[in-house]
Amino acid sequence: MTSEGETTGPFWAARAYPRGSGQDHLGLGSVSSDRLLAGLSPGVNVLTVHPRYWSFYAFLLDEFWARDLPRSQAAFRDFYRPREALYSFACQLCEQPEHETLTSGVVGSRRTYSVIGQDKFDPAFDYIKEPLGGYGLYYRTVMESMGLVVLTDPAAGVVFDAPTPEGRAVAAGYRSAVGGTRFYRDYFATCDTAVARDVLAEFAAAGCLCRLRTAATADLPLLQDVFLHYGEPEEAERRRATFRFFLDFCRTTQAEAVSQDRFRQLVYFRELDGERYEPLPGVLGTARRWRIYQAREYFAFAFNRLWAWVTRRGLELSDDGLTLVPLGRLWTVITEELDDNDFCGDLSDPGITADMPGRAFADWLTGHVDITPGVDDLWPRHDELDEHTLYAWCANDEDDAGTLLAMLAILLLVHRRLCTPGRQADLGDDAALLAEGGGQRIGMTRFYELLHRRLTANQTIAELLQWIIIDFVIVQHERVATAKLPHSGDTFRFRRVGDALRFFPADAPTAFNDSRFGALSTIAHELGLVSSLAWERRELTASGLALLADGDLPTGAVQQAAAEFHQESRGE
Amino acid sequence: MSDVPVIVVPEQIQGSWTNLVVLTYSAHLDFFETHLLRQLSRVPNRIVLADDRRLADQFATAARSGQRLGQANRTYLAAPIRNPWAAHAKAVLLTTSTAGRLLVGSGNLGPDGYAEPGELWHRYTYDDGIGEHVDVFAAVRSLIDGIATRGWLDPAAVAGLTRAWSSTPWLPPRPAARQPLHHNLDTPLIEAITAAVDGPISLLTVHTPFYDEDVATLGQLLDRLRPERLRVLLTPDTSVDGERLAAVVSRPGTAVSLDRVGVADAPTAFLHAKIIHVVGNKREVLVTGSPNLSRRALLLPAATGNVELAVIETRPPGGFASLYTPLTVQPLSASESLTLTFRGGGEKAPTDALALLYSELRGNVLTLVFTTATGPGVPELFFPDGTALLALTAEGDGTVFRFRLADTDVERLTRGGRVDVRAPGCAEGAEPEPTWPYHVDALRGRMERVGDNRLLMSMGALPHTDNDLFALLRQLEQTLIFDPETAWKVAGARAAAHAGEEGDAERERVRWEEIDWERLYRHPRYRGYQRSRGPDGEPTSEIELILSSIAARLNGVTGSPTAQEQDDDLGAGSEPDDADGEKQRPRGLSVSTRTRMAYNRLAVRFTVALHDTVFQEKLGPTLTVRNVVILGHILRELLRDDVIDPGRAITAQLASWSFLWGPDKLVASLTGEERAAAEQVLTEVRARQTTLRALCELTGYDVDDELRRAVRDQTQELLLSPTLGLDQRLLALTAPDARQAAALVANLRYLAGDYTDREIIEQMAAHWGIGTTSVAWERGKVQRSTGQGCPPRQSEVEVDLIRVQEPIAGLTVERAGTDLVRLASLLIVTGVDLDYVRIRYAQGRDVAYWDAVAGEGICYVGSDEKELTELRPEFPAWWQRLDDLDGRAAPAVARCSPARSHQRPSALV
Repeated sequence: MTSEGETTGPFWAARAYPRGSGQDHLGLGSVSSDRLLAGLSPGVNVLTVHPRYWSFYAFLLDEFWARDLPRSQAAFRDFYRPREALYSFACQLCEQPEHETLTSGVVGSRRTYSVIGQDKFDPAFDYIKEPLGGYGLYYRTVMESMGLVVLTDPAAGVVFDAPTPEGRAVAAGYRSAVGGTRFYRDYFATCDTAVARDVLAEFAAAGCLCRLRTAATADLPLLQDVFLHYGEPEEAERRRATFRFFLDFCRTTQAEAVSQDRFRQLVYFRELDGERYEPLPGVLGTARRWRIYQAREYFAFAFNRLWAWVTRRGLELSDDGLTLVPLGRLWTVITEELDDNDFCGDLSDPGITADMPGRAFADWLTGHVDITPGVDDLWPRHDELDEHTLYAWCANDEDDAGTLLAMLAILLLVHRRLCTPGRQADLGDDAALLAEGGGQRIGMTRFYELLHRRLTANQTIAELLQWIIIDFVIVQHERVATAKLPHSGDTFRFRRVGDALRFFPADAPTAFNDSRFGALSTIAHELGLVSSLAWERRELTASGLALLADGDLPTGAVQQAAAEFHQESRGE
Repeated sequence: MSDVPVIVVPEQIQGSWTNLVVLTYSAHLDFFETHLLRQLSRVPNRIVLADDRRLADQFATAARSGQRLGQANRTYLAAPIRNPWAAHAKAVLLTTSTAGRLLVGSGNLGPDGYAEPGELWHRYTYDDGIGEHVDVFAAVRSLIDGIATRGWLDPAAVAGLTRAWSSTPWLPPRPAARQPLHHNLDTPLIEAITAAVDGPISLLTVHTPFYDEDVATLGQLLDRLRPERLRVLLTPDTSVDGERLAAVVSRPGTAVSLDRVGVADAPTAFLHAKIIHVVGNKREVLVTGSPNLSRRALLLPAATGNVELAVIETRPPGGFASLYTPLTVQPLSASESLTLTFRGGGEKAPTDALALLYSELRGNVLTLVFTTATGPGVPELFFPDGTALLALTAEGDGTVFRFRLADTDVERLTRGGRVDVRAPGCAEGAEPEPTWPYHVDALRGRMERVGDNRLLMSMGALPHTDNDLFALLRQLEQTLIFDPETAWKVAGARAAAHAGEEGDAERERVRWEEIDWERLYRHPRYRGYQRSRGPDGEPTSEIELILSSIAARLNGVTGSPTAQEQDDDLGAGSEPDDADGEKQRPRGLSVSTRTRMAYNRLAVRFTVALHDTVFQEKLGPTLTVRNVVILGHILRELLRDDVIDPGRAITAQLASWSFLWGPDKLVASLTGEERAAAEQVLTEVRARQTTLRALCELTGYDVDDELRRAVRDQTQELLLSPTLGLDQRLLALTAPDARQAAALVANLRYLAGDYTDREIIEQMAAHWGIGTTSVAWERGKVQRSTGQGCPPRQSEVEVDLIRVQEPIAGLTVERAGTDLVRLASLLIVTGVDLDYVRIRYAQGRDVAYWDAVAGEGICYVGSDEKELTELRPEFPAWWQRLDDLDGRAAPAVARCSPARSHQRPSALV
């Protein structure tokens, strides 16, 4: 088709936004990642996995500023990329025993791994697309939040990212670890020739990500200090508390590695494989907040799973989007399937149908799942009906009435465990976490207020599901997809047209948001606090034991090391 | 399909219009707020008129699901059309005082109606210079006015429309000639359709997504037109009873085909277009627009049916052949036709139930209007979080209630969003009814912007409110390309998107060096710099608009809206003058931190960009000259109004003057046509005069030492700049009055000669080639003539003298005399009252002094001695330039001059 000329028409309307796949179609992920997790583990995100990158990048910045180079991104890129490319190679050539626990997170490894069998390594190897590699992609902002770098701000006179005195101290620590290597002595300055395998292996023995644990006389004490004390004091305190919490819970279920899935269960129920986790008194508050986080994850999963249900079943009903589906028809389908469900499985069926009052359904659930323990107590598991079991049962593409009931059940269980007025009062100040998301991203407080009214009004399961699907799935999806139109294109999976729904063929994945377990557990391990959480029989180091017992480790290492750089910056 | 014209509707709904009026059945206000409003930020009067029940549904859903719709009825009107049945017309009207754009079609406001295939639109444009289609626009106005006249609009909507028509003087209330738009306010549309058809009908093609339950309307159409052949286009979503359809169309003398239709490129698109295509022997008639094949759409007038708007167009045979090109049309199987079902179709019966009609916020008074009398008592009001509003007073007659609210509640309300209302007597536990009050003052305040791009046009003088100041900044950001950031926004976004593929975290990062300059040069914003005036001399681009405004300002025209423009706002004088709830900002008084910081950042960015010579070269002289003129003017106004940090603004000013007038800088580097073009701009906006005046205004600021030195050095440079060309003529142009001229020169003298005692030491130390630590001022006692009595008496007095603590190589009495000349000149330049100068050298009793009162001096060096009877100062070239300007002869001899203290001269008179 051509664009219109000077005529008045008629013109057929053209699509204004291209189709896009998108993710987080209800916009709930940001509540977990930007609000709850940001409060629990400030300065650490999903992709900032290895603490030694804080050292390495500070070191590269420091070396860059030590040279007479233009202070521009282009100049830094030219300086930075060959050195990070070789570091990526080195971290894969590392032969040290500590490397056994380093399984991922080496920047650029997807490309460098493919040529790791070579004898020599080219610093010009295009190891990653992003001009500033892992620093630009992942670590830059968190290093700034912990006070190791200042970011480019021409208005403030910062023409390019620069290490702070504290950053320079960490850089110096790293330099003391690698300064004696052949790579640093003979190649680092110019970094313009291929580097032999053994040279990089030797460098890795001193400077690999995994070797931080052994760098007690180099950058390890500095990074421990940074992670436990730097950044905004309140943030450092919360980060410290989370590491302490990790050291606490990881002593449970020693026979198994702690995976993210097991972490979620331990965090939420404090019971796994028949073992109980009882937080130390000083850890209880942090454990409670992580429990609320995981409650939010179950809560969000329920909505996302209902969204996927509507999407896939809608596509079926609409002949893959070719016809509209009247909302009435959708409700009919739901009602009919609810009336013919096998949700109870081996449990006695109390007569769960579309017309069953939601409150009765909740009572039946809590007749099986013991929700009487308080907000800080252990929550007994139930093999068939607790939140995680229901989640696991529905983490697939099977869109039947059982899934609808399971998701409603999750919402009802979370309600009674944490979100009734009484339980919210028990949470004290932490109840504020339940309000995160507000009206825009389905805050738990607001949702459960509305749910409570409907339960009190004796609404049926079908009525509750219809309400949830309309107001918190369909409208929410429309709102989020509308907001994404200019940036991500048309990510609608369905949209109301009058009293009908129009469906658009596309996938409908559903999963939890990343809990940062991988990053946090790796950092705890590589900071020398505990053996790998990915292994059985975890052991806390002396530092780890001290942190667990006292809630903190001595500070001052960075301050002392940075003193000379502070003097330098003052021109003394 | 390559020859079929298409339209991307959102692209049509943007630009610097004054008014937007949308007619729609359903209104997806979230889409409107998050997408269209962004591109309509400069349209002050924005009105969405939607079907009342659909709009109420939208608001109810928003309230239920926590959607804020914070701009609804605050920065735009979202008003219901309360006709008895559906308000189904669909149009988008954009106007200014001289131009218009009109879309009429089948799409409702929302992603489906505006952003998807499956809708049909007509587009009309009007321009004062051409005058075409004015009757089409008038037809839409007559529909809207007719709706208002029938009392189907809320008063706030009527006021908004009145403002729209007042600011669109070319738009008559009704068409004066035949035109293709038809509404059904008075006459059913079928009459207009029938009237357009002439002669026997060979083929009638119809497609509408909704039919009557009994398909009677199609039957009536067939009765009237009696086509030889009927083609009914159907989709699986067509709301029609298949069996009844078959029965209705089955009639003697008419061959019928039921065809399945779809959009070829978008098989899942909902074909929402309405088509009645009548093919006769002599001509064809095409009916498009809003009407479905339903009784209330086609057969009834608006009083008993819907409100509909159709385009009935007539062309010669074959004139609409391309209409079907984007469609797939194939025969419908018998089994498919049987699956077609009637699903209702948006025609809901009126209701008399008690409901909240609307609410209005005027000043501190919130008014609620109900459909019928409520029970006894007063409604309760809540914010969305359940907090009750505090009513200081409440009065009502059962239908209309007025609450005078506490200031805090009003302040919260003015941020937008809904109020929940519980009517008296409503059932216990019933959900409150949400309402988005019309913010009458704020909406009217927006309309005070009438006068297309008022802010940009009025840039000669800064706006009077903080919000407008902030808005002006945003408009400048959207108009100018003055630094890498603005260039990036024009030409870097695509690169940024690519850069973010590996992770969103860094997507916002900007790589100046990767700006796609070719793309930038093609961009309309860039080209806007290069457009010249239109044939009538009027500005044709926003850049020209700004320059024109600045020129007007400098010509003594305020640049504020004219009296005529102010009169355009019919509510003037009857309402508080607050704009968006904000008090008028008296000059020099409070400006929000947000605005101040934003302008500070602008100044810094401008400064940094001016120093980026590579970037400026890339931009080219056309842009850079205009940027310096525009931003230089703004900086001066901001400084005057105390809206910006003086340090940052002055730094930026100095950078801009150096950039513009400096040796080998912008103007000096231009030759030929480029120079002539630049000079034209500089002359039009009086850039030279402005520079001098702005420079002189810097005498009023206490700035830090570094900046003070920079101002001094820049002043000296400008005084001698050949491109600035300060001479008597320029002085006269800048300061026509002699006293003004004298004050201006005095100011320049002050700025250029602003040396501190310390700097005089530095100058002298440099002259001697020794370190500044070896030279110092000190107080000393000397024997001096008192200047009284005859012969004058000698007495011991304290004077300031310079002590040199390091031997001066090659010091002689002649050299010492030169030292005195230099020191005296410096002191005169700095404005110090030249009374007595003395230099005490390091060696022995070496000394030199000049007593201006006595008119004598002496130099002692070693055993040599030289008496001085005169001291001829040697002034720098800039000083002499100033002397030339004020006609003052340089003092031949440094004698005691009339007292001149080192104080700032008075400002320009």
